[in-house]
Amino acid sequence: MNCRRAADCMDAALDLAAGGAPAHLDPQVEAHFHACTACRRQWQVLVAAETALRAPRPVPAPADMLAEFQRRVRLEEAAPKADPGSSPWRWLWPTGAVAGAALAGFLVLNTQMALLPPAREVARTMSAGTAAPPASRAPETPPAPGGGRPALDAVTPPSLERRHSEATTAPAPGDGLASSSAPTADSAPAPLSGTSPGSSTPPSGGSLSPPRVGGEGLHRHGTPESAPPRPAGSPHALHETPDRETVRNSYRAPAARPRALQAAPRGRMAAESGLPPPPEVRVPELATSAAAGAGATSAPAPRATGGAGSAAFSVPPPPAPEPAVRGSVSVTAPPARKPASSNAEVDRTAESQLAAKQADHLPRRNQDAVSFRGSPPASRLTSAGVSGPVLASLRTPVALALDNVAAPLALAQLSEAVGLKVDVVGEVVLPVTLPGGPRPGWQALQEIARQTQCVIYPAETGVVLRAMEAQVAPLGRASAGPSGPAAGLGGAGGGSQGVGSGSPGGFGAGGNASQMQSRGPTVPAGASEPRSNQAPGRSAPSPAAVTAPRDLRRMEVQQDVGALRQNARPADAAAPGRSAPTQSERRMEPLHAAPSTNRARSVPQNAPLPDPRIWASSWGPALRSGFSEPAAASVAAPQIRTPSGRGTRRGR
Amino acid sequence: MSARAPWGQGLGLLGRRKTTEATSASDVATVAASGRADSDLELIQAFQRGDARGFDTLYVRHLDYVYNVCLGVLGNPDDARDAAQETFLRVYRKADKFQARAAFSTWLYRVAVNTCVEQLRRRPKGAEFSLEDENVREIADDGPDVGTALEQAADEAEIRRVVAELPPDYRLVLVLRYFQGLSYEQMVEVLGYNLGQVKVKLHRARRAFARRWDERARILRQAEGIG
Repeated sequence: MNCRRAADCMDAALDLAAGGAPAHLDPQVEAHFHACTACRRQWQVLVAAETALRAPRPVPAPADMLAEFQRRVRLEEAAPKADPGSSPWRWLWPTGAVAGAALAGFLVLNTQMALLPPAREVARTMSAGTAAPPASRAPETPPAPGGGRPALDAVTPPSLERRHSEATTAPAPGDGLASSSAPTADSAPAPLSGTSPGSSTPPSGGSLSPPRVGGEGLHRHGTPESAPPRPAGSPHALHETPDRETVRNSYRAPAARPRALQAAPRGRMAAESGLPPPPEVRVPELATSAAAGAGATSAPAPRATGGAGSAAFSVPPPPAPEPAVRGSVSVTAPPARKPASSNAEVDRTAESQLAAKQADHLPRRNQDAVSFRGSPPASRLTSAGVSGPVLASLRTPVALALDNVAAPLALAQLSEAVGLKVDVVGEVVLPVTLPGGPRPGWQALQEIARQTQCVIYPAETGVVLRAMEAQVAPLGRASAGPSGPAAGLGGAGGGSQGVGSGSPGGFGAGGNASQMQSRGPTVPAGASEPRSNQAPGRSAPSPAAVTAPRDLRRMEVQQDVGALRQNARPADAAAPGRSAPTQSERRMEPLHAAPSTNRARSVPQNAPLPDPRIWASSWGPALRSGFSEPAAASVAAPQIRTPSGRGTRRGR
Repeated sequence: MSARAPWGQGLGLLGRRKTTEATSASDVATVAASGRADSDLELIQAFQRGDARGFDTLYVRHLDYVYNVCLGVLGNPDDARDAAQETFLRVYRKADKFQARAAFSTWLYRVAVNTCVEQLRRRPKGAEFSLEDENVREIADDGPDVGTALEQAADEAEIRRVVAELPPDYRLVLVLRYFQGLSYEQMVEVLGYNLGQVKVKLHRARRAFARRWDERARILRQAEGIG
């Protein structure tokens, strides 16, 4: 037994002691105690400590502890319990998480919108009916009230870029008017993007807004269709016949736009413009059919066929009790049945209705072809100003065999075949005959344009086929047009019937000596004359509405064109009951955005206007690239042209 | 605990005894006799069902025990009083969470130990122990022989003082083992240690107390020799 073993035995003896001192130890341990004084001393100390530890008795609790405990419990229950969830800090984490998520979402959305602004711009242009190139549009209008996307669109870099480019360029003749009227129009909240109060279609964002092509300010006061679309850099912005009706046929797939939206703005615009109903509504075939297809939701508005420019704003528009659909027609409009407003409409409805029906049943390939997201942004347009999808569509081989088919049908078939969006501005009613055989889409389009006396303008999402008659701009419509080198150069850049405009003696206030120079009506042989002017029973424009020299020139042009038109299509020449536009109608005619300064400068003022038959197509080479087609084809029908300004700028 | 009755209603029986100067053994015995048939588990379950009298009975039954634990650990009657009240308040608040996995007394002692440990942590060092006259008087009142009782009370106070000078873990095991008479298994449940840890701590605490107690005796003997 050693001391360590003895210590263990002592602890065991203490643990086994049940009260009092430990009973006894092992004899070996006791023997060790006799031999080891230290262990014996240790054992004595432990026994004394064990005895002392077992000595204390339980101490009774104080008497007042119960009362105190009762008081504390009452106070605790009476006091409002501190809700751990009521702490203001408990919202810190959820709030931070929500804020972070919102910030991340905003950044993502902003990034996406920054990447896709051109597509939206294209979408807005597309939805505007006739897709006018952005360059010819007035400054962008603010978004519709309450619309978030338009506001974001407005600040997208491309928009700002375009604004900047437009702002840096010197104002063109039409720009002045457009810009002068734009602020007022911008302040108007609803007319452009909204719908009529009676319309069942709610206002929407920019993509569904009614057309704002060619002078948005005028759109707000007149009908949206009162401003025929102008392609980018169109030199004919001011060369619009005052009493000219612009029929816009948009050969697009059905439901490209909501049907209600196509017609509702008209009614609203008509109601706002307050124009009296035209003395005698003359609607072309396509217009009639589209009007018939406008549906009950649309309130067709009388189309203002009067003058354009600021004069339109000064005249308070009289009310329009029963708007008549004249002009803009979208084939994609619903084929709602609207009774024809005149016998003339009935006479010309059959063909357009057929075209509308066919177009209505077209697959939506066109929509796909102009997919907004898929279309490249404007910055990636080709040097000719044609976007990639459009270029691809135009390059698509097509085998169309047409034999004296109506132009709308031909265009519809072509649009369907190549998946191209074709907007038609003006009356395109001449028959088309295309020999069979594969050919590129652009060549077929050129052929159709040649036979229908149209000019092809490229758009970002398609092409615009404009009738030759629409090229004739009203004379003396450069009111409030800014002075500048481009003022009055309506025919610059290849305008066919370019007539001098912006004369100081005219309605417009702008212009200078060079602007007064008449461009001379280099009327093409096949140029068509608007039937409206030649319609029997239609009175001549009032003398007050025209300025003698220019109007004389214009009338000559119109007569020439009209003669050609009548020769080409005598059956459609007569429009009985159609009267001449009144002065108010002339004033309501939109003034389109004039070509920009850069674009105008690119063409000398005194340069002879080229024959529209041989208008050079700036995007012809781009189209022809990759094609092995005979060169004569492009030379024979070189009517595809593009605004030279865009390509010129891009070429720099 | 939503059906918990007001404390005053539940303490109706105890409220009558509040007038007494102290919670005498007779009152405790009365309360205990009235509820002795009910075990702690039944009382706490009754309290969980909304019967406040169950907690009253539990309070009376375990007050002294909790108080002595607190007094043995803290060494200060005031601190022991506060600790005991805090212990019962905690049990009162958390009674609905009692799941009867262990004895109620074990849970109650553990709450008391934790409360005492928290007070020891908050207590500034140097104020370990203070023997008040109140405890001495109460103890003295119980004994018939005043001289013996005073001597015994002095010894008990001295023992508690020495225990209070030990480290807290040593205090706990010594109090629970010697003052409260818990077994090793109960100490394991109350302290949360395993059996080996309890034995080791008790061994070390015992020797530490023995050294201090022997030192004190040596000093007393030297003082007596001098005197």
